[in-house]
Amino acid sequence: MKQGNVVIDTVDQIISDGVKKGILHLYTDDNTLHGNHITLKGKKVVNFGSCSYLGLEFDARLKEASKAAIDNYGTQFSESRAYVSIKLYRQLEELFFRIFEAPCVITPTTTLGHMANIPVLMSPDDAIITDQQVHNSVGTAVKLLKTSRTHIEVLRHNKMDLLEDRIKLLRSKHKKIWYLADGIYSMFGDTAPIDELYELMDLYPQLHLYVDDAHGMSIHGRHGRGSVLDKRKFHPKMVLATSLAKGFATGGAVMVYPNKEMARKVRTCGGPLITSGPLQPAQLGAAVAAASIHLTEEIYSMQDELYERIKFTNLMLKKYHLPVIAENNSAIFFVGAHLPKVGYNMVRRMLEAGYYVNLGIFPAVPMKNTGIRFTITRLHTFSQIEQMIRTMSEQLPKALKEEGVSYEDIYKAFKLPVPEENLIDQKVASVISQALSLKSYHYKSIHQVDKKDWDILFKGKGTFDWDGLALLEDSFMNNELPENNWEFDYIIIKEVRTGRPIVASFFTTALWKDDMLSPADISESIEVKRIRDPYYFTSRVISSGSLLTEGEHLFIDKTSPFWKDAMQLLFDEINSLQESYNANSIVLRDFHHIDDEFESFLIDNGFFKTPMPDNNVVSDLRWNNAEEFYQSLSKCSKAHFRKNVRRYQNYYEVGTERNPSEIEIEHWYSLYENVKNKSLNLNTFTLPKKLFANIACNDSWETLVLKLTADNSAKITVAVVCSHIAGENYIPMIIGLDYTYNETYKVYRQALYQVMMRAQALGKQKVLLGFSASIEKKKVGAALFPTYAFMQIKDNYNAQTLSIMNLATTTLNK
Amino acid sequence: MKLTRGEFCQFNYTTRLKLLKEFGRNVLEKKIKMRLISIYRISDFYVEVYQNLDNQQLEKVEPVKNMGVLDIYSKL
Repeated sequence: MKQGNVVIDTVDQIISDGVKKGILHLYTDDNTLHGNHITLKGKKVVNFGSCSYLGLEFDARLKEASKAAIDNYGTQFSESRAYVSIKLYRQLEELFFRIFEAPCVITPTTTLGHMANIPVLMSPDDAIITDQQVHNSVGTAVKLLKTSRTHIEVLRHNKMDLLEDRIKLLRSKHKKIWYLADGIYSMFGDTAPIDELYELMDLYPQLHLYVDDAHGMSIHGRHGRGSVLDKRKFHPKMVLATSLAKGFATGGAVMVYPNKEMARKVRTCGGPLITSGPLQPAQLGAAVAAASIHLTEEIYSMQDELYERIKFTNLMLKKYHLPVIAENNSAIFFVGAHLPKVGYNMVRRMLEAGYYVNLGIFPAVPMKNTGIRFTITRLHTFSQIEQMIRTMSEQLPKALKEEGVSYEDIYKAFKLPVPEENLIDQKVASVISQALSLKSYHYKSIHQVDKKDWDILFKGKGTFDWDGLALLEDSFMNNELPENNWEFDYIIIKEVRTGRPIVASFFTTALWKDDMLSPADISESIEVKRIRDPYYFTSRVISSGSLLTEGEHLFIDKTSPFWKDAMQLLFDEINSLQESYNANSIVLRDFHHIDDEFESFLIDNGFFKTPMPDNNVVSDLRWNNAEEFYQSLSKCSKAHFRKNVRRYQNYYEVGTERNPSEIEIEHWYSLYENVKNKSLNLNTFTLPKKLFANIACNDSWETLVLKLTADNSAKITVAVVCSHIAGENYIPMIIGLDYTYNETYKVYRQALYQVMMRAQALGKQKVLLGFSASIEKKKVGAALFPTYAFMQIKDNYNAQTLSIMNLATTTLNK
Repeated sequence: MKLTRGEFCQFNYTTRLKLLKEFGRNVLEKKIKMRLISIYRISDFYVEVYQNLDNQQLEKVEPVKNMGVLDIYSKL
């Protein structure tokens, strides 16, 4: 599974869904724009999505200056700034020097500014710590450092105590420790704790600050120099990046430095400043006019007008009891909606009511933290603000009811205290209507579930028939290590009238390694940390199925008109489990075929699709003996078989064993540990020894044992394969190998072959060979079947960190 | 939309006047010497507005404390 593609695929899903629902990738119908109205799909709406906080884009002075610049210099000046820049650049640089009282470099965008700054200012010997919520454009530039193996890590949002801990740990190894943050965070509108950061910079010589204050420019501070520099001097260990495309209203960006040398170096060596195009005359002309306004008293009255509107908005949000995620003094507001489906619903409702607001959704925020993001500008009247918020307060309960979500769900998703007035269960109405037709049954053990009922739904689908689950429960309870103690939950949603199951599944809650599906080298570096802290980068996960089962874990009767309601009830149950077990993630897994409707339904409910390792399946067992098997192979596979399997066959004695001795169990377990420790491609905790003893005595399972007579020595067990044999399929689940003999006697390949023979001898239809080692498995006739899971993560900090680790090798073992 | 006096007074005079014009109702307006005196009703209270007609400056935009003042204005 390629980690990088997962993110792109998920973003594609979310955005494409929004486009299909008619709320993303919109175009205005207007031929001209004035003020804060835009026309979308033929409807004139008030725009609450603009980041032009002072409304300066309509100022006559900027427009005239822009037009004059075109008249004087043409529509573009197409030369690299490394060669020539037009005179307006010099004018603008001088104006910015007066605004910031510090050296500046102008860049075409903030993104290009970061890409110019970060590789030039941050060396491979430095450590870089990014705030979890730092703007994506900063993250993009940090990724450029991956080839230089710079130490990069992610810090939980605004946690200065953790930052200080990291500084203390890193300062002996790194001359500079950079902390990258936003002045004002673009989704929730909260701010970085700049005062504390200044204190830390004063206390620790190694700490340097890189801050993107795009949303603070113009609306705060002397001459509109931003929120970071509002009432503060420029810190000598700080670099400031800010945007001219928001409050400043012209496009472009400006980078600000504590000294001339730093500015010179970026201006000289920054990639985009050499190879990218410049700001064009129209933008430069407007920027000169805007900068001139910033240097007059007029900017302060504009700031005041905006502050008053921000104050008013905060007041209205309180009055109308909307779930605001972070109360602050920025012009960005985020009203929680919890799940994507509520977010989509609300944006659509607000559009219909005449207001355009943004959808705050993945990847900008975690899936379960979807919300409605809106901005306030100086152009909004107080009536418009009040009416918009009033409309939102009227529409939100309707959207929540329609989507089966409560206010309490929203506050809990954002880890906020639930106001008393929202503790009343708003889901009651929808639950009652569901309860009239559906009932949920929840069991804590398979022994509480009727065997016949369960096996009707699940026998033959995998290793999780009634007997299989009884074995799992016995093996994964009352163990010494916490990772070997699982919670089991069985949920069946039935139609009340007929008693027929509509949705059913079993869930295990266990400790998973967060790097389970990461590349092996990432897991390797994390395992080094786990020598001291075995539970580093682990979290509790509720998964349909378990780590020791494969197959269609979720039963859904889609012929029932209530299947979606039944799934909602299932989600309610799982969410309750998540609370009580304090689990970080929910995983619904092992889907092979997913229709668009189901996929959309899961995304709307806050799940994102992720590919799992492909499943290896041998579907054709129609041969009757070894010779026919051989003939069924491809030409290459035949050659492989002759060279690597048949040649060594006579050295092996193959059989199944029941009731092994304790010594045998010990030996089998050590063989399993060999395999477990060798491969980090699917990094899981080690299974408990008890499982092997249980499997050996269970009729639904068998243990295939390969003994080798090597060099006239005594027979030794060199391979064991524990397989589930109840049902139509042969399902090897655990393998153990003695690698000492693998090179000489091709133990693994022999084991694979013997599995095939055994499956055929038992009259099975298929052999489900599981994940990994696909090349080897292909040689015995396996084909790959894509498998998918749907995940919901409460706290994606570890996932973000793994993503950074994927891109840049960290030096955890330094 | 209901605003309390305390909430209203959070805002500067310019904003208060805008709030009065957008959400309130002008109940009285009198020119006295070089001042325009207006009384607005907003939510459940009244607000006195004094504007200097010479320089257009707002001199007062304050909730009325003593309702007797309204009688005085109405008799002027």
